[in-house]
Amino acid sequence: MEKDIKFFTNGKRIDGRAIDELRNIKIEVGVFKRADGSSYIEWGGNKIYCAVYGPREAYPRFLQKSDRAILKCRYNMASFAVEERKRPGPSRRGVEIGKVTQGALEPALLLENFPKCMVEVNIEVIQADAGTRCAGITAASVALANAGIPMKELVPACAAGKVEDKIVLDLCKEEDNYGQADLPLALLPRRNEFSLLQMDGDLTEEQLEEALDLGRKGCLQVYEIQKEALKKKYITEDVLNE
Amino acid sequence: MEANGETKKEFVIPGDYIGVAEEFLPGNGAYEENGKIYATLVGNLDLDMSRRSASVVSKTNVVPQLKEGDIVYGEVVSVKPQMVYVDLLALEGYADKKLSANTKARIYVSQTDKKYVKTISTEFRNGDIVRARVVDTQGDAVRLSTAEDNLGVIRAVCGVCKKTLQMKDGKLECEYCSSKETRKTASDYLKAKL
Amino acid sequence: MSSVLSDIKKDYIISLLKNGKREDGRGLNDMRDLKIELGIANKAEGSCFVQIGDTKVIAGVKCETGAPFPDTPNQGVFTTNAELIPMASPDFEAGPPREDSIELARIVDRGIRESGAIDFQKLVIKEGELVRVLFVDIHIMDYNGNLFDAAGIAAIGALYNTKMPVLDEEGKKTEELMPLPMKKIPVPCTYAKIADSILYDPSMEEESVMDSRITATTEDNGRISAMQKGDVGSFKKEEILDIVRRSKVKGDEVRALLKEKFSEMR
Repeated sequence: MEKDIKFFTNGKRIDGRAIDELRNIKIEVGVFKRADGSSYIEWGGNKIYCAVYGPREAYPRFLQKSDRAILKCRYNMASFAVEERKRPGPSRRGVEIGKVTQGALEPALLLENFPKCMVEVNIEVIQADAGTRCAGITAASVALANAGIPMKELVPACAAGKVEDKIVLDLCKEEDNYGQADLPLALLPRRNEFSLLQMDGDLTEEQLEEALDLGRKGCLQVYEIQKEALKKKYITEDVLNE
Repeated sequence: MEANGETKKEFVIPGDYIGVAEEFLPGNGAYEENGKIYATLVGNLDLDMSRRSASVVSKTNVVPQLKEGDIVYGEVVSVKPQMVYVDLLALEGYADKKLSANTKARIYVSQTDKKYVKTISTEFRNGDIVRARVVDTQGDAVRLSTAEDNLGVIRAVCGVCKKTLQMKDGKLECEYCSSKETRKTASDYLKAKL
Repeated sequence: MSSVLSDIKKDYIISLLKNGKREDGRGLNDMRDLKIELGIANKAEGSCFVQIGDTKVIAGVKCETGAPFPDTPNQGVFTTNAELIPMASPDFEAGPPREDSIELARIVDRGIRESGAIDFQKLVIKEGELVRVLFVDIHIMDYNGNLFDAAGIAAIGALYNTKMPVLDEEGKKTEELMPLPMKKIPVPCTYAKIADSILYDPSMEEESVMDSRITATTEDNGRISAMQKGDVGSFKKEEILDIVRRSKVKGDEVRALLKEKFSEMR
């Protein structure tokens, strides 16, 4: 984790942000024809597409649940999304991120409306630049809304972390690689509960509390961007139709 | 938007608070939690004061779900004396989407045609592709009706040689073995656009 | 779409074709709207986004170094890979590449390799020991018909967009960047045969009912660098020659747009 990097200059971070400042985030809704719902997110240097299919009959059949739909989440990175070419196909990292993504999104969905069905979320990273899982969850939640999957609320995600013993929001690549801790979070805003929590690095209890608070604030900002993206999509459509 | 009663149009997204349970019942696109009603879909809020319901008129893509009145496509899989069993293939307008839930359906002899039908075996045979209207979604099988001009068989094969039956002067005939058959056909037999 | 429904769809599409019409109103030789964007993924050395109608494809190039193949010690290594990811269609499944994606990658690969689009000899760093290794990875994002042309155009676009580090004598990367030694712009054109009609740039609906297809890749000078007949079905000699003639004309149109994009880049 050690490297000669100066993380702060005059209180600003490597990329010029304040400690509680997000990178630029842009979300587009409904970018694909074939999928039932879709979205595209640019978050800092991340470029990620998300497509949702379903609900449709779950297969293989033994996966079907008689009282609800199942949620399948697949996270994949294009081989050219990173500096060193990634071998195409499933990876252990991708499988794990798919699983925690499912855990983050499912509590917000009303899957009991669709017994024996499945809803599939596909996340494709075209350009990776730290924080892809949070960006993916954020985009997926919007794509699920675009698909008309009923949900209790949107799920925003954002990481907090620690560099040079300071708690910062939304780690950039250098902070992620050479910082002291990374804490990706997803928030259920209305319930005020976290549905994604992972951590690696080194934090004290006090620092964890500070990071959770800061991460929550970040998620709420992301939440506003999600809402804006949906409003922009559908209110603009309205104006065009009138 | 329905005109009866007072309605209110407001853009909402999932999680938006739209009313209290004492005042409204959660309708489509809404759910109740701890006495409060929230939106579950992106769309326009519809507070219907006369019916006391709070619902959301979706503006996003919608999940195709069978409801009464829908037109569906299906394949006849079994012919019984009083009814035929149909495997549903698609909902009209969503031909390339798989149906999400119940795909078993029936057509009863009484709902086959506008005119009186004595035996259903003169109207349908196994393997026929039909267009039908959903009349009931309750129970374990969806009930369908083909008692309209544009409903009924849109493609059928000859019982002898399995070639597609052609429509000649209002009658179905096999071009290969000249055998003639009867069906309750739709008005656009073999010309269906889907 | 279920197979019985696609039969019904086929009846309808054929009845239109009998009058020279297509479901979306195009003529038999018309391509849907083509959009090309270069440099859309900056972790790749080169990248290209291609949209044909509602079909969307992204190709990325990564450059590495490695040993040449023993039988071609004086040539660089070039690999094309395509992924039909589940994002693009409800019918695509996750997992290792299957027949369709391997065929797609190989059609694109042959079109580029056999046209001599890349000067492979200029990719040699130390003969017999160290050469450039190029990977073209094609990501299908939204499948609505004619992946062959979309993937082929995206691949050649990404190659022309590539800026790779100049290497020193030992093969170490320097700060300086250079383009790939590109010589030609091969363009694939795909035709579907439905009943007795041959139509350019089949849509998804047309592909779902077509008897057969041919992809012909042509070069700037009108030569043919690769062909592939796909699916079940067959073609007459006259039909094949007709497709090749049409491919040259349509290929030139696509090439013109590619050249325009390449000139904007520099």
